[in-house]
Amino acid sequence: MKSYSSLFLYLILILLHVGCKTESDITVYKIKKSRSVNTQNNNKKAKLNWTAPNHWIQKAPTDFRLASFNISTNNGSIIDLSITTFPGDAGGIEQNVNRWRRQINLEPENINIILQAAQKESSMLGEYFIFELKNEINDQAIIAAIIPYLDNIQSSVLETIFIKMNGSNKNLQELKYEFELFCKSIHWQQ
Amino acid sequence: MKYNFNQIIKIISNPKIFVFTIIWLMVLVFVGTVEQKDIGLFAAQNKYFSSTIIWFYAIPLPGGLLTMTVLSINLFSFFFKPNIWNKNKLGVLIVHIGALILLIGSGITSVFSKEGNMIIIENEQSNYMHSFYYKEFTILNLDEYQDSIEVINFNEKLFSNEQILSYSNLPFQIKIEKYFINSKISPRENDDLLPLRGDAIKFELKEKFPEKEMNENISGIMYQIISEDESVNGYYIYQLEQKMPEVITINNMNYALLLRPARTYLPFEIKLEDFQKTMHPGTNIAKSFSSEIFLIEKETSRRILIEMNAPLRYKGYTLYQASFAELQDGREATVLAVVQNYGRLFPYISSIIMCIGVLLQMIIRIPGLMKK
Repeated sequence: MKSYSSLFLYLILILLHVGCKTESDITVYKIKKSRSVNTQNNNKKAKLNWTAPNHWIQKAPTDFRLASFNISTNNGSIIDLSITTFPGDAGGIEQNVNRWRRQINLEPENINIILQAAQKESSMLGEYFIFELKNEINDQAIIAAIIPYLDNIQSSVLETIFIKMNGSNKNLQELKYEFELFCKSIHWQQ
Repeated sequence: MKYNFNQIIKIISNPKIFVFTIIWLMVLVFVGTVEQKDIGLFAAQNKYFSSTIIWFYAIPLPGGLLTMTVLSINLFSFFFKPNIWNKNKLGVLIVHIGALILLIGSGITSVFSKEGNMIIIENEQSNYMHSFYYKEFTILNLDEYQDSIEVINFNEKLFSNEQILSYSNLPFQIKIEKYFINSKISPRENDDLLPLRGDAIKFELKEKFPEKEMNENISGIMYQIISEDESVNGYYIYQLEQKMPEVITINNMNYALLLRPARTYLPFEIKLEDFQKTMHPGTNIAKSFSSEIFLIEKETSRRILIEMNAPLRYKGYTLYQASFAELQDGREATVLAVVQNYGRLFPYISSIIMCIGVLLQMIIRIPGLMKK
Protein backbone atom coordinates (compact mmCIF):
# COMPACT_ATOMS: atom_id res chain seq x y z
CA MET A 1 0.00 0.00 0.00
CA LYS A 2 2.82 2.36 0.90
CA SER A 3 4.54 1.74 -2.43
CA TYR A 4 1.30 2.40 -4.38
CA SER A 5 0.71 5.68 -2.56
CA SER A 6 4.30 6.78 -3.18
CA LEU A 7 4.02 5.88 -6.85
CA PHE A 8 0.74 7.79 -7.12
CA LEU A 9 2.25 10.87 -5.50
CA TYR A 10 5.28 10.75 -7.78
CA LEU A 11 3.05 10.52 -10.86
CA ILE A 12 0.95 13.46 -9.69
CA LEU A 13 4.08 15.53 -9.02
CA ILE A 14 5.40 14.73 -12.50
CA LEU A 15 2.08 15.71 -14.01
CA LEU A 16 1.99 19.03 -12.15
CA HIS A 17 5.64 19.73 -12.89
CA VAL A 18 5.15 19.21 -16.61
CA GLY A 19 2.00 21.29 -16.50
CA CYS A 20 3.73 24.15 -14.77
CA LYS A 21 6.96 24.01 -16.76
CA THR A 22 7.57 27.10 -18.83
CA GLU A 23 10.28 28.01 -21.22
CA SER A 24 13.03 30.20 -19.94
CA ASP A 25 12.08 33.88 -20.26
CA ILE A 26 15.56 34.92 -21.40
CA THR A 27 17.24 33.03 -24.20
CA VAL A 28 20.76 33.64 -25.39
CA TYR A 29 22.47 32.17 -28.39
CA LYS A 30 24.96 33.10 -31.08
CA ILE A 31 24.42 33.29 -34.79
CA LYS A 32 27.16 33.27 -37.36
CA LYS A 33 27.96 36.59 -38.90
CA SER A 34 26.88 36.66 -42.51
CA ARG A 35 26.99 39.40 -45.13
CA SER A 36 23.72 40.98 -44.11
CA VAL A 37 21.33 40.34 -41.25
CA ASN A 38 18.71 42.67 -42.62
CA THR A 39 18.16 41.02 -45.92
CA GLN A 40 19.12 37.65 -47.18
CA ASN A 41 19.19 39.06 -50.64
CA ASN A 42 22.77 38.07 -51.37
CA ASN A 43 22.59 35.75 -54.28
CA LYS A 44 21.32 37.40 -57.43
CA LYS A 45 21.64 41.03 -56.34
CA ALA A 46 24.39 43.25 -57.71
CA LYS A 47 27.35 43.68 -55.35
CA LEU A 48 28.71 47.00 -54.19
CA ASN A 49 32.22 47.72 -55.29
CA TRP A 50 34.65 50.54 -54.57
CA THR A 51 38.22 51.75 -54.82
CA ALA A 52 40.01 52.19 -51.54
CA PRO A 53 43.46 53.70 -50.93
CA ASN A 54 46.24 51.14 -50.55
CA HIS A 55 46.84 51.86 -46.90
CA TRP A 56 43.23 51.12 -45.96
CA ILE A 57 43.17 47.60 -44.52
CA GLN A 58 39.91 45.80 -45.18
CA LYS A 59 38.51 43.68 -42.34
CA ALA A 60 36.10 40.74 -42.56
CA PRO A 61 32.46 41.79 -43.02
CA THR A 62 30.14 41.38 -40.06
CA ASP A 63 26.41 40.91 -39.91
CA PHE A 64 25.52 44.61 -39.81
CA ARG A 65 28.45 45.77 -41.94
CA LEU A 66 29.02 45.12 -45.58
CA ALA A 67 32.69 46.01 -45.14
CA SER A 68 35.04 47.60 -42.64
CA PHE A 69 38.43 49.21 -42.95
CA ASN A 70 41.20 50.05 -40.50
CA ILE A 71 42.89 53.29 -41.55
CA SER A 72 46.16 54.44 -40.05
CA THR A 73 46.76 58.13 -39.49
CA ASN A 74 49.98 60.16 -39.28
CA ASN A 75 49.95 60.14 -35.50
CA GLY A 76 49.61 56.35 -35.32
CA SER A 77 45.88 56.18 -34.56
CA ILE A 78 43.67 53.60 -36.23
CA ILE A 79 40.35 54.87 -37.56
CA ASP A 80 37.50 52.44 -38.16
CA LEU A 81 35.43 52.98 -41.34
CA SER A 82 32.23 51.00 -41.85
CA ILE A 83 29.96 50.43 -44.82
CA THR A 84 26.45 49.25 -44.05
CA THR A 85 23.29 48.94 -46.10
CA PHE A 86 19.69 48.84 -44.96
CA PRO A 87 16.49 48.37 -46.94
CA GLY A 88 14.39 51.43 -47.72
CA ASP A 89 15.32 54.83 -46.35
CA ALA A 90 16.42 53.24 -43.06
CA GLY A 91 14.80 55.93 -40.96
CA GLY A 92 15.89 58.90 -43.04
CA ILE A 93 18.61 61.51 -42.72
CA GLU A 94 17.37 63.34 -39.64
CA GLN A 95 17.04 60.23 -37.49
CA ASN A 96 20.40 58.81 -38.48
CA VAL A 97 22.37 62.03 -38.24
CA ASN A 98 20.90 62.80 -34.81
CA ARG A 99 21.79 59.32 -33.67
CA TRP A 100 25.38 59.97 -34.66
CA ARG A 101 25.26 63.37 -32.96
CA ARG A 102 24.18 61.70 -29.74
CA GLN A 103 27.09 59.27 -30.01
CA ILE A 104 29.55 62.17 -29.73
CA ASN A 105 27.49 64.08 -27.15
CA LEU A 106 26.01 66.65 -29.48
CA GLU A 107 22.44 67.88 -29.19
CA PRO A 108 20.05 66.86 -31.99
CA GLU A 109 19.27 69.28 -34.79
CA ASN A 110 16.30 69.58 -37.09
CA ILE A 111 16.50 68.43 -40.70
CA ASN A 112 16.87 71.93 -42.17
CA ILE A 113 19.96 72.72 -40.14
CA ILE A 114 21.39 69.27 -40.82
CA LEU A 115 20.99 69.68 -44.58
CA GLN A 116 22.36 73.24 -44.56
CA ALA A 117 25.58 71.97 -43.04
CA ALA A 118 25.78 68.88 -45.26
CA GLN A 119 28.01 68.53 -48.29
CA LYS A 120 26.11 67.47 -51.41
CA GLU A 121 27.95 65.14 -53.77
CA SER A 122 27.17 62.93 -56.73
CA SER A 123 28.51 59.64 -58.00
CA MET A 124 27.52 56.68 -60.15
CA LEU A 125 24.87 55.89 -57.56
CA GLY A 126 23.35 59.36 -57.78
CA GLU A 127 23.28 62.28 -55.40
CA TYR A 128 24.15 61.88 -51.76
CA PHE A 129 25.21 63.85 -48.69
CA ILE A 130 28.32 63.85 -46.54
CA PHE A 131 27.89 64.94 -42.93
CA GLU A 132 30.71 66.21 -40.79
CA LEU A 133 29.92 66.21 -37.08
CA LYS A 134 32.39 67.67 -34.59
CA ASN A 135 32.36 68.03 -30.84
CA GLU A 136 35.17 70.49 -30.02
CA ILE A 137 34.79 69.94 -26.29
CA ASN A 138 35.54 66.23 -26.16
CA ASP A 139 37.43 66.15 -29.49
CA GLN A 140 35.16 63.57 -31.05
CA ALA A 141 34.02 63.66 -34.64
CA ILE A 142 32.11 61.62 -37.18
CA ILE A 143 32.26 61.90 -40.95
CA ALA A 144 29.51 59.95 -42.66
CA ALA A 145 27.85 59.63 -46.04
CA ILE A 146 24.25 58.61 -46.65
CA ILE A 147 23.78 57.31 -50.20
CA PRO A 148 20.23 56.41 -51.22
CA TYR A 149 19.85 53.81 -53.93
CA LEU A 150 16.71 54.70 -55.87
CA ASP A 151 14.51 52.57 -58.08
CA ASN A 152 14.54 52.94 -61.88
CA ILE A 153 12.09 55.81 -61.95
CA GLN A 154 13.77 57.58 -59.02
CA SER A 155 10.57 57.49 -57.01
CA SER A 156 11.44 55.39 -54.00
CA VAL A 157 14.49 54.37 -52.04
CA LEU A 158 15.23 50.68 -52.40
CA GLU A 159 18.22 50.69 -50.13
CA THR A 160 20.40 53.15 -48.22
CA ILE A 161 24.18 52.89 -47.97
CA PHE A 162 25.94 54.34 -44.93
CA ILE A 163 29.65 55.00 -44.88
CA LYS A 164 30.94 56.24 -41.57
CA MET A 165 34.11 56.81 -39.67
CA ASN A 166 34.68 58.27 -36.25
CA GLY A 167 37.65 59.48 -34.30
CA SER A 168 39.29 62.72 -33.21
CA ASN A 169 38.71 65.96 -35.14
CA LYS A 170 42.28 66.13 -36.34
CA ASN A 171 42.48 62.50 -37.54
CA LEU A 172 39.24 62.73 -39.48
CA GLN A 173 40.26 66.01 -41.15
CA GLU A 174 43.39 64.22 -42.32
CA LEU A 175 41.30 61.46 -43.92
CA LYS A 176 38.43 63.55 -45.20
CA TYR A 177 39.67 63.88 -48.76
CA GLU A 178 40.28 60.12 -49.06
CA PHE A 179 36.81 59.55 -47.60
CA GLU A 180 35.24 61.76 -50.26
CA LEU A 181 37.06 59.95 -53.07
CA PHE A 182 36.12 56.58 -51.61
CA CYS A 183 32.42 57.52 -51.52
CA LYS A 184 32.55 58.70 -55.13
CA SER A 185 34.04 55.38 -56.21
CA ILE A 186 31.20 53.22 -54.88
CA HIS A 187 29.14 51.54 -57.57
CA TRP A 188 27.12 48.41 -58.28
CA GLN A 189 28.89 45.58 -59.99
CA GLN A 190 26.95 42.60 -61.42
CA MET B 1 -10.05 12.42 10.82
CA LYS B 2 -7.38 10.36 9.17
CA TYR B 3 -7.75 9.03 5.68
CA ASN B 4 -5.89 6.03 4.41
CA PHE B 5 -4.64 5.78 0.85
CA ASN B 6 -7.66 3.85 -0.43
CA GLN B 7 -10.06 6.41 0.95
CA ILE B 8 -8.14 9.24 -0.69
CA ILE B 9 -8.15 7.38 -3.99
CA LYS B 10 -11.87 6.75 -3.65
CA ILE B 11 -12.51 10.48 -3.24
CA ILE B 12 -10.21 11.58 -6.04
CA SER B 13 -11.37 8.93 -8.51
CA ASN B 14 -15.06 9.59 -7.93
CA PRO B 15 -16.85 9.35 -11.31
CA LYS B 16 -18.84 12.49 -10.40
CA ILE B 17 -15.63 14.52 -10.67
CA PHE B 18 -15.19 13.20 -14.19
CA VAL B 19 -18.77 14.07 -15.13
CA PHE B 20 -18.63 17.60 -13.68
CA THR B 21 -15.27 18.39 -15.28
CA ILE B 22 -16.48 17.17 -18.67
CA ILE B 23 -19.65 19.27 -18.38
CA TRP B 24 -17.60 22.31 -17.33
CA LEU B 25 -15.27 21.80 -20.31
CA MET B 26 -18.30 21.78 -22.60
CA VAL B 27 -19.43 25.08 -21.04
CA LEU B 28 -15.96 26.57 -21.60
CA VAL B 29 -15.92 25.42 -25.21
CA PHE B 30 -19.35 26.98 -25.82
CA VAL B 31 -18.57 30.30 -24.14
CA GLY B 32 -15.09 30.49 -25.65
CA THR B 33 -16.41 29.82 -29.14
CA VAL B 34 -19.06 32.52 -28.84
CA GLU B 35 -16.66 35.12 -27.44
CA GLN B 36 -14.02 34.27 -30.03
CA LYS B 37 -16.16 36.19 -32.55
CA ASP B 38 -15.52 39.40 -30.62
CA ILE B 39 -12.03 39.02 -29.19
CA GLY B 40 -10.37 36.69 -31.68
CA LEU B 41 -9.12 33.12 -31.48
CA PHE B 42 -5.87 33.72 -29.63
CA ALA B 43 -7.43 35.88 -26.92
CA ALA B 44 -10.32 33.42 -26.42
CA GLN B 45 -7.86 30.53 -26.18
CA ASN B 46 -5.80 32.33 -23.55
CA LYS B 47 -8.84 33.44 -21.57
CA TYR B 48 -10.81 30.19 -21.46
CA PHE B 49 -8.53 27.27 -22.25
CA SER B 50 -5.00 28.17 -21.21
CA SER B 51 -5.96 29.87 -17.97
CA THR B 52 -6.13 28.52 -14.43
CA ILE B 53 -8.83 30.90 -13.18
CA ILE B 54 -11.48 32.81 -15.12
CA TRP B 55 -12.95 35.82 -13.37
CA PHE B 56 -16.67 36.22 -13.84
CA TYR B 57 -17.01 39.66 -12.31
CA ALA B 58 -15.53 38.99 -8.83
CA ILE B 59 -16.21 35.26 -8.87
CA PRO B 60 -13.27 32.98 -9.65
CA LEU B 61 -14.15 30.02 -11.87
CA PRO B 62 -11.85 27.21 -12.97
CA GLY B 63 -10.19 27.81 -16.32
CA GLY B 64 -9.42 25.17 -18.93
CA LEU B 65 -5.96 24.42 -17.59
CA LEU B 66 -7.17 23.80 -14.03
CA THR B 67 -10.13 21.75 -15.25
CA MET B 68 -7.94 19.52 -17.40
CA THR B 69 -5.52 19.06 -14.50
CA VAL B 70 -8.34 17.92 -12.21
CA LEU B 71 -9.61 15.61 -14.94
CA SER B 72 -6.14 14.14 -15.41
CA ILE B 73 -5.72 13.49 -11.69
CA ASN B 74 -9.16 11.89 -11.61
CA LEU B 75 -8.25 9.54 -14.45
CA PHE B 76 -4.81 8.77 -12.99
CA SER B 77 -6.28 7.85 -9.66
CA PHE B 78 -8.58 5.30 -11.33
CA PHE B 79 -5.63 2.96 -11.76
CA PHE B 80 -4.98 2.90 -8.01
CA LYS B 81 -8.45 1.79 -7.03
CA PRO B 82 -8.48 -1.52 -5.20
CA ASN B 83 -9.45 -4.59 -7.26
CA ILE B 84 -9.40 -2.64 -10.52
CA TRP B 85 -6.76 -4.79 -12.14
CA ASN B 86 -8.78 -7.86 -13.08
CA LYS B 87 -9.62 -9.39 -16.44
CA ASN B 88 -13.33 -8.47 -16.26
CA LYS B 89 -12.43 -4.77 -16.29
CA LEU B 90 -9.68 -4.99 -18.89
CA GLY B 91 -11.67 -3.11 -21.52
CA VAL B 92 -12.48 -0.28 -19.09
CA LEU B 93 -8.83 -0.02 -18.11
CA ILE B 94 -7.77 0.22 -21.73
CA VAL B 95 -10.34 2.95 -22.42
CA HIS B 96 -9.02 4.89 -19.44
CA ILE B 97 -5.46 4.47 -20.70
CA GLY B 98 -6.56 5.83 -24.08
CA ALA B 99 -8.20 8.84 -22.44
CA LEU B 100 -5.08 9.51 -20.40
CA ILE B 101 -2.91 9.31 -23.49
CA LEU B 102 -5.17 11.93 -25.10
CA LEU B 103 -4.75 14.23 -22.09
CA ILE B 104 -1.00 13.65 -21.98
CA GLY B 105 -0.82 14.49 -25.69
CA SER B 106 -2.75 17.71 -25.16
CA GLY B 107 -0.42 18.61 -22.29
CA ILE B 108 2.64 17.98 -24.44
CA THR B 109 1.13 20.09 -27.22
CA SER B 110 0.26 23.01 -24.96
CA VAL B 111 3.66 23.07 -23.24
CA PHE B 112 6.10 22.14 -25.99
CA SER B 113 4.54 22.95 -29.32
CA LYS B 114 5.62 25.93 -31.40
CA GLU B 115 4.05 27.46 -34.45
CA GLY B 116 4.82 30.37 -36.66
CA ASN B 117 5.48 31.31 -40.22
CA MET B 118 8.45 31.64 -42.52
CA ILE B 119 8.36 34.28 -45.22
CA ILE B 120 10.96 33.60 -47.86
CA ILE B 121 11.54 35.68 -50.97
CA GLU B 122 12.41 33.86 -54.21
CA ASN B 123 16.11 32.92 -54.36
CA GLU B 124 16.59 33.75 -50.70
CA GLN B 125 16.80 31.48 -47.71
CA SER B 126 15.80 31.43 -44.09
CA ASN B 127 16.35 29.23 -41.05
CA TYR B 128 13.86 30.61 -38.56
CA MET B 129 10.14 31.05 -38.09
CA HIS B 130 8.27 34.00 -36.59
CA SER B 131 5.70 33.39 -33.90
CA PHE B 132 2.14 34.36 -34.84
CA TYR B 133 1.41 35.65 -31.38
CA TYR B 134 4.41 36.37 -29.21
CA LYS B 135 7.02 39.11 -29.33
CA GLU B 136 10.50 39.36 -27.93
CA PHE B 137 12.77 42.25 -27.08
CA THR B 138 16.07 41.46 -28.71
CA ILE B 139 19.49 42.86 -28.06
CA LEU B 140 22.18 42.04 -30.60
CA ASN B 141 25.71 42.20 -29.27
CA LEU B 142 27.36 43.03 -32.58
CA ASP B 143 31.03 43.50 -31.84
CA GLU B 144 32.12 41.36 -28.91
CA TYR B 145 32.65 38.18 -30.91
CA GLN B 146 34.58 38.14 -34.15
CA ASP B 147 32.66 35.44 -36.00
CA SER B 148 29.25 35.63 -34.43
CA ILE B 149 26.60 37.90 -32.98
CA GLU B 150 25.31 37.23 -29.51
CA VAL B 151 21.51 37.37 -29.50
CA ILE B 152 19.77 38.04 -26.18
CA ASN B 153 15.99 37.65 -26.28
CA PHE B 154 13.63 38.72 -23.53
CA ASN B 155 10.25 37.00 -23.64
CA GLU B 156 7.08 39.06 -23.85
CA LYS B 157 6.12 37.74 -20.40
CA LEU B 158 8.76 40.09 -18.96
CA PHE B 159 7.21 43.21 -20.46
CA SER B 160 5.39 44.44 -17.39
CA ASN B 161 5.79 48.08 -16.38
CA GLU B 162 8.89 48.87 -14.32
CA GLN B 163 10.37 45.46 -15.13
CA ILE B 164 14.15 45.55 -15.49
CA LEU B 165 15.68 43.48 -18.25
CA SER B 166 19.32 42.68 -17.72
CA TYR B 167 21.90 40.15 -18.74
CA SER B 168 25.34 39.61 -17.26
CA ASN B 169 27.21 40.24 -20.53
CA LEU B 170 25.57 43.61 -21.20
CA PRO B 171 26.91 46.92 -19.82
CA PHE B 172 23.38 48.32 -19.57
CA GLN B 173 19.93 47.48 -18.34
CA ILE B 174 16.56 48.02 -19.94
CA LYS B 175 13.64 49.24 -17.85
CA ILE B 176 10.25 48.72 -19.42
CA GLU B 177 8.13 51.84 -19.13
CA LYS B 178 5.15 50.75 -21.21
CA TYR B 179 4.34 47.86 -23.50
CA PHE B 180 1.31 47.85 -25.77
CA ILE B 181 0.06 44.77 -27.60
CA ASN B 182 -1.35 47.18 -30.18
CA SER B 183 -0.14 50.72 -30.53
CA LYS B 184 -0.12 53.80 -32.70
CA ILE B 185 2.56 56.40 -33.07
CA SER B 186 1.68 60.08 -32.74
CA PRO B 187 3.51 63.40 -32.33
CA ARG B 188 4.85 63.88 -28.81
CA GLU B 189 2.57 65.97 -26.62
CA ASN B 190 4.34 65.86 -23.28
CA ASP B 191 7.90 65.67 -21.96
CA ASP B 192 7.29 63.99 -18.61
CA LEU B 193 10.17 61.60 -19.07
CA LEU B 194 13.64 62.91 -19.82
CA PRO B 195 15.99 62.58 -21.50
CA LEU B 196 14.21 61.39 -24.63
CA ARG B 197 16.26 59.66 -27.30
CA GLY B 198 15.80 58.62 -30.92
CA ASP B 199 12.23 58.60 -32.16
CA ALA B 200 10.98 59.33 -28.66
CA ILE B 201 12.12 62.92 -29.02
CA LYS B 202 9.43 63.65 -31.58
CA PHE B 203 6.97 60.81 -31.20
CA GLU B 204 5.15 58.91 -28.52
CA LEU B 205 3.35 55.59 -28.46
CA LYS B 206 -0.29 55.35 -27.53
CA GLU B 207 -2.26 52.24 -26.80
CA LYS B 208 -4.80 50.93 -29.32
CA PHE B 209 -7.44 48.32 -28.63
CA PRO B 210 -6.07 44.93 -29.73
CA GLU B 211 -7.31 43.59 -33.04
CA LYS B 212 -9.02 40.22 -33.20
CA GLU B 213 -6.33 38.84 -35.48
CA MET B 214 -3.02 38.92 -33.64
CA ASN B 215 -1.02 39.58 -36.78
CA GLU B 216 -2.87 42.87 -37.26
CA ASN B 217 -1.57 44.23 -33.98
CA ILE B 218 1.43 46.54 -34.11
CA SER B 219 3.09 46.17 -30.72
CA GLY B 220 5.02 49.05 -29.25
CA ILE B 221 7.37 49.50 -26.34
CA MET B 222 8.75 52.42 -24.41
CA TYR B 223 11.89 51.63 -22.45
CA GLN B 224 14.68 53.28 -20.57
CA ILE B 225 18.35 52.46 -20.98
CA ILE B 226 20.32 52.56 -17.73
CA SER B 227 24.08 52.50 -18.02
CA GLU B 228 27.20 54.37 -17.03
CA ASP B 229 27.19 56.27 -20.31
CA GLU B 230 24.97 59.32 -19.88
CA SER B 231 24.91 59.98 -23.62
CA VAL B 232 23.06 56.71 -24.12
CA ASN B 233 20.81 56.77 -21.04
CA GLY B 234 17.28 57.90 -21.63
CA TYR B 235 13.87 56.91 -22.90
CA TYR B 236 13.37 55.24 -26.26
CA ILE B 237 10.41 53.95 -28.17
CA TYR B 238 10.18 51.16 -30.67
CA GLN B 239 7.26 49.98 -32.73
CA LEU B 240 7.11 46.54 -34.28
CA GLU B 241 7.22 47.53 -37.92
CA GLN B 242 10.03 50.04 -37.57
CA LYS B 243 12.64 49.52 -40.27
CA MET B 244 15.81 49.96 -38.29
CA PRO B 245 16.78 48.73 -34.88
CA GLU B 246 17.98 51.25 -32.35
CA VAL B 247 21.77 51.02 -32.35
CA ILE B 248 23.69 52.26 -29.31
CA THR B 249 27.40 52.39 -28.66
CA ILE B 250 28.85 51.83 -25.20
CA ASN B 251 32.58 51.41 -24.64
CA ASN B 252 33.08 51.29 -28.44
CA MET B 253 30.81 48.26 -28.70
CA ASN B 254 27.66 48.40 -30.77
CA TYR B 255 24.35 46.96 -29.65
CA ALA B 256 21.16 46.78 -31.70
CA LEU B 257 17.84 46.86 -29.86
CA LEU B 258 14.54 45.89 -31.40
CA LEU B 259 11.12 44.45 -30.77
CA ARG B 260 10.23 41.63 -33.12
CA PRO B 261 8.02 38.56 -33.43
CA ALA B 262 9.57 35.80 -31.33
CA ARG B 263 11.85 33.69 -33.45
CA THR B 264 12.49 29.98 -33.32
CA TYR B 265 15.55 28.86 -35.20
CA LEU B 266 15.21 25.60 -37.07
CA PRO B 267 17.94 22.94 -37.37
CA PHE B 268 17.92 23.40 -41.17
CA GLU B 269 17.55 26.13 -43.79
CA ILE B 270 14.99 26.53 -46.51
CA LYS B 271 15.86 28.24 -49.78
CA LEU B 272 12.99 29.20 -52.05
CA GLU B 273 13.92 28.23 -55.59
CA ASP B 274 10.59 29.00 -57.26
CA PHE B 275 7.10 29.94 -56.22
CA GLN B 276 4.20 28.98 -58.48
CA LYS B 277 0.58 30.01 -58.27
CA THR B 278 -2.41 28.99 -60.30
CA MET B 279 -5.36 31.38 -60.46
CA HIS B 280 -9.00 30.51 -60.93
CA PRO B 281 -9.71 31.18 -64.60
CA GLY B 282 -10.69 34.77 -65.27
CA THR B 283 -10.07 35.90 -61.67
CA ASN B 284 -7.29 37.16 -59.43
CA ILE B 285 -8.11 34.56 -56.82
CA ALA B 286 -5.38 32.00 -56.26
CA LYS B 287 -6.51 28.42 -56.84
CA SER B 288 -3.36 26.74 -55.65
CA PHE B 289 0.22 27.61 -54.92
CA SER B 290 3.38 25.65 -54.39
CA SER B 291 6.95 26.31 -53.37
CA GLU B 292 9.91 24.53 -54.85
CA ILE B 293 12.54 24.67 -52.14
CA PHE B 294 15.96 23.41 -51.27
CA LEU B 295 16.18 21.93 -47.81
CA ILE B 296 19.73 22.71 -46.69
CA GLU B 297 21.36 20.97 -43.77
CA LYS B 298 25.06 21.24 -43.09
CA GLU B 299 26.71 20.69 -46.46
CA THR B 300 23.87 18.90 -48.23
CA SER B 301 20.68 20.06 -49.84
CA ARG B 302 17.74 18.41 -51.55
CA ARG B 303 14.97 19.71 -53.75
CA ILE B 304 11.43 19.40 -52.37
CA LEU B 305 8.04 20.64 -53.53
CA ILE B 306 5.69 21.98 -50.85
CA GLU B 307 2.11 22.25 -52.06
CA MET B 308 -1.26 22.94 -50.51
CA ASN B 309 -2.28 19.64 -48.85
CA ALA B 310 1.25 18.27 -49.26
CA PRO B 311 3.34 19.69 -46.42
CA LEU B 312 6.98 18.93 -45.69
CA ARG B 313 7.59 16.95 -42.51
CA TYR B 314 11.16 16.97 -41.28
CA LYS B 315 12.84 16.66 -37.88
CA GLY B 316 9.61 17.11 -35.96
CA TYR B 317 8.61 20.21 -37.97
CA THR B 318 5.74 20.36 -40.45
CA LEU B 319 5.87 23.11 -43.07
CA TYR B 320 2.60 23.93 -44.81
CA GLN B 321 2.10 26.10 -47.88
CA ALA B 322 -0.05 28.79 -46.27
CA SER B 323 0.03 31.88 -48.44
CA PHE B 324 2.20 34.15 -50.55
CA ALA B 325 3.11 37.81 -50.92
CA GLU B 326 4.01 40.01 -53.85
CA LEU B 327 6.62 42.64 -53.14
CA GLN B 328 6.63 46.13 -54.58
CA ASP B 329 9.60 45.31 -56.79
CA GLY B 330 7.74 42.42 -58.41
CA ARG B 331 9.40 39.59 -56.52
CA GLU B 332 7.25 36.91 -54.94
CA ALA B 333 7.57 35.45 -51.49
CA THR B 334 6.16 32.27 -50.08
CA VAL B 335 4.57 32.12 -46.65
CA LEU B 336 5.01 28.75 -44.98
CA ALA B 337 3.16 27.93 -41.78
CA VAL B 338 5.49 25.95 -39.53
CA VAL B 339 4.38 23.75 -36.67
CA GLN B 340 6.43 21.75 -34.22
CA ASN B 341 4.11 19.52 -32.26
CA TYR B 342 5.46 16.49 -30.46
CA GLY B 343 1.95 15.56 -29.41
CA ARG B 344 0.39 15.39 -32.86
CA LEU B 345 0.13 11.59 -32.97
CA PHE B 346 -1.40 11.23 -29.51
CA PRO B 347 -5.05 11.80 -30.57
CA TYR B 348 -4.75 9.04 -33.20
CA ILE B 349 -3.09 6.62 -30.80
CA SER B 350 -5.59 7.35 -28.01
CA SER B 351 -8.58 6.96 -30.35
CA ILE B 352 -7.34 3.55 -31.49
CA ILE B 353 -6.68 2.45 -27.91
CA MET B 354 -10.10 3.62 -26.73
CA CYS B 355 -11.82 1.78 -29.60
CA ILE B 356 -9.90 -1.37 -28.69
CA GLY B 357 -10.94 -0.93 -25.06
CA VAL B 358 -14.61 -0.49 -25.91
CA LEU B 359 -14.60 -3.54 -28.21
CA LEU B 360 -12.77 -5.62 -25.65
CA GLN B 361 -15.21 -4.71 -22.89
CA MET B 362 -18.12 -5.61 -25.15
CA ILE B 363 -16.54 -8.98 -25.89
CA ILE B 364 -15.95 -9.62 -22.16
CA ARG B 365 -19.55 -8.71 -21.34
CA ILE B 366 -21.21 -10.77 -24.12
CA PRO B 367 -21.18 -14.19 -22.30
CA GLY B 368 -22.81 -12.59 -19.26
CA LEU B 369 -25.44 -10.89 -21.35
CA MET B 370 -26.13 -14.13 -23.27
CA LYS B 371 -26.81 -16.00 -20.02
CA LYS B 372 -29.45 -13.44 -19.13
